[in-house]
Amino acid sequence: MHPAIRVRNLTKKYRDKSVVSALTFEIEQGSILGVLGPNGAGKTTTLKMLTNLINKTDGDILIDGLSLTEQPKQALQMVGASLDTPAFYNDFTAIENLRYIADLHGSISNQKIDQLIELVGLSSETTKKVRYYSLGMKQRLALARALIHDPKIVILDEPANGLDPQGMRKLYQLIRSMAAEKQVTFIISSHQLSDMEQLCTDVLILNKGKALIHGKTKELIHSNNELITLTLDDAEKAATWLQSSMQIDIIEQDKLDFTIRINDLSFNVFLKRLVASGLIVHRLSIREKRLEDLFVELTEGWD
Amino acid sequence: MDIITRMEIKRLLQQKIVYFFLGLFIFAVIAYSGLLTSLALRNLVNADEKVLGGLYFPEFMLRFYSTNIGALFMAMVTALFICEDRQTGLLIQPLLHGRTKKEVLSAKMKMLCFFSTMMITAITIIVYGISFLRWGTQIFSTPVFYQTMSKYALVALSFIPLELFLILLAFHARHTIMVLGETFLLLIFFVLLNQSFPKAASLFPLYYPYQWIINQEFQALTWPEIFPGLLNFFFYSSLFYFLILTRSNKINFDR
Repeated sequence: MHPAIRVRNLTKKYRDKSVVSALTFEIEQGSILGVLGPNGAGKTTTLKMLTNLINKTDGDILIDGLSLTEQPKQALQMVGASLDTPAFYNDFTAIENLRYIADLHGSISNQKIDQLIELVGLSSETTKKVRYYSLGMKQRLALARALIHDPKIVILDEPANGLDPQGMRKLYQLIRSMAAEKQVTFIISSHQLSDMEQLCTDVLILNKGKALIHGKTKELIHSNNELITLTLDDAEKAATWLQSSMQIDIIEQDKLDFTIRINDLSFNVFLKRLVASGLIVHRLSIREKRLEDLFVELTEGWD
Repeated sequence: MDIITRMEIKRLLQQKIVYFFLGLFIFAVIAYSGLLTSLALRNLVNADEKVLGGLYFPEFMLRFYSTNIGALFMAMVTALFICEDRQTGLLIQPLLHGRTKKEVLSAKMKMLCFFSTMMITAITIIVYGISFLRWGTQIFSTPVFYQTMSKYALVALSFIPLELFLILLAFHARHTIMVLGETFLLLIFFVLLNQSFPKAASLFPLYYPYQWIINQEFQALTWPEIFPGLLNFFFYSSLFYFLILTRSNKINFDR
């Protein structure tokens, strides 16, 4: 079985400046890929190239085996997308907006539109003009619109923006069930790292247009050592001591709080050395590495 | 008519600005037909009888829409449907559902050219309707009635190259305010050009409505006066139409 999307050497340049360079990845059907990265990492540009909204400078995109360059119409027929802030015809109702999109595809019944409205939980708001919808309601309607032609691949840019926690939970449940039951592949860009960790089967972390890492979320998180968080009393002295050891990596520092990882060194030996250093330890804990830690390590924090 | 054009027309009919503009125009026509033609004001403004009413009144009112006001109003509507749609992300929606840029551009062109013609039709109905209530059947007296109607038709045609130019401008200027500002500057430039170098001005479509409606107001037009204008409109309309469609892939739909 071929992958849902295969991207090879995807590059986008504006004049001579590379926004996305030589991006290569592929996703299996039914996967949920989280595209993560700081602002300006090239996430939205990548998603726009995948939906043919902007032309690529170089590279190939195969959607379900079809080349986006050679057969754009057929390839895009398999893709549903909601990019940027959801945009609708504000003076029309949710049903009228969906009916218009349905007509662009041809034979999509009113019953199907009703089902989608119900699926995203907007059944009680169908007579209201979209102008009066909250951002969260628009996000849900945007998802219904992206699903209207039963696409095999759904691309969502920041789908949780404007959703309340309950709305987010429902959205993630819906994505999970569609991926598991209908083998729909999702590509989601988001800043909600903890949610992405729970939701995505795969992650792709971008920075400055380049793929830093791509793989199965669980494997990536568990492939590295655990992290140690410390609260020490003298930031300057502590930083100097931590930096002086080749076997200690400082992952993050916030005033007196340090997050570190120890390499080729047992925790007991580390603890002995720490006590011997004379630093006063207010707090010390070991925690499992999270997607957020991996992200911070790779991208060196938010831009 | 394709689905995108139908949707655009449906949206157009919901635009309050269109009804507001027509409302203002109705008010202006009533004001001119009622107040300015009263005996007291007739003496005060000491105006030509042709200007003030009766048979010539519909042609007199055409000057209020045919050139600058009409161009600016159409620039505003065009920018609303192109720049604003791009800013909100609406322009890309048909592309995300299998339609091409060419189809979207074609729908915008059809809708806006249809709208510019509908506006002239609405204005004709408003002017003749109010004139009929004020002066009765004399406004339909020939040959002035035919002369006026032909000028309304020529103005409608003059809006097609203008509208296509505005579409091209709106796709390249990113914001509504830029489209309005550039249209305004262009109109000023054209007035200056027309005053200083009328021969050079005659190369552009805007020259003809000025010539027919303002310089030759209340005069019958001859075929040799009309023909170069029609040729000019055809040339520029075709040029802008093909320019928009052939450059469709280079036109940025993204916000």
